[in-house]
Amino acid sequence: MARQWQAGDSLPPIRLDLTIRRAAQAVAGTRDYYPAHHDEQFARANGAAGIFFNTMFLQAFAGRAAGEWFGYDAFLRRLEVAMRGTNYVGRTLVAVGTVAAVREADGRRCVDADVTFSTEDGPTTAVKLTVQLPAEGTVVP
Amino acid sequence: MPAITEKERALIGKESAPRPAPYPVNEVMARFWCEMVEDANAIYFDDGCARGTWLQGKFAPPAMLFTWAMEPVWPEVEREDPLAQLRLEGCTATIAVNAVQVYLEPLRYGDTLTVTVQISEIGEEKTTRLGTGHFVSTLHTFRNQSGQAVGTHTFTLFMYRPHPPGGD
Repeated sequence: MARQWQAGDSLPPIRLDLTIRRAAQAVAGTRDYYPAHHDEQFARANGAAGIFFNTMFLQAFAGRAAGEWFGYDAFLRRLEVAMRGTNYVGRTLVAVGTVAAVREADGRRCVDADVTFSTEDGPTTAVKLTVQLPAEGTVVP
Repeated sequence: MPAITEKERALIGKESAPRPAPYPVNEVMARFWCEMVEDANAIYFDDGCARGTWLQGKFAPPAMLFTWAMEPVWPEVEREDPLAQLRLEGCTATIAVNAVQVYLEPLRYGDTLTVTVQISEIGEEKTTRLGTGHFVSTLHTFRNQSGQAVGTHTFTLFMYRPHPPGGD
């Protein structure tokens, strides 16, 4: 049974440990070999405090969160990721959010959510996402 | 550092030729992706489950969009798009500031994508906590084997010359 969403509904925390192993997975998994994501020395020489996670990794985590919050058949339509801080190896990444709007657009039932990713260093990433839900009354065989 | 030159300005708004993604949309890379963030969504891999939904079959995680266009590190590919041609003097480092993706169609396994890229904007010189450089906005458009647009990616990057060490 599909849940009825309302603006203001809160989206519970989802956590992920940002281990060095996960940084290695992120390099291979996103195909992003820019040295700041695997070379500590390079990262420090370019103004960061260490190896940090890339944009595609954050998009992946947002995609996971969207599915866990809105259901496996909620289709991600739009995803905005704004880097406000840096997601460093050794921290724990936590996603929390709030439903911003529930709306019909072009015959699509959509939910917009405002999401924040944080680590021990504070909020790092401001995320806005839109999912399209199955049309109301959809019969799943 | 000098301001942006005519050569750089001339790159703005030019859409590159379509470049084929190096690999078709495939389940193995999608599984690595899900393993990376512990995404257990069955709709990506269990076709039986996915066929029973309005999405009518399994598909790759939508947020993988940009990953499909990432070039292999070997053998090296010489890219000719405007972003590859952009040389901002002294700017040796790049960081992503903002990314917006729009997903128009589910990407099905076996789809072969092409991508075009254009630079939408090059900002004036700015100094941030990381260094001095320029904010650059780009638009990547992804199309499938039928020529249908399946998604877009709008990137704002900061291309910069890092502050000298010990400067803070």
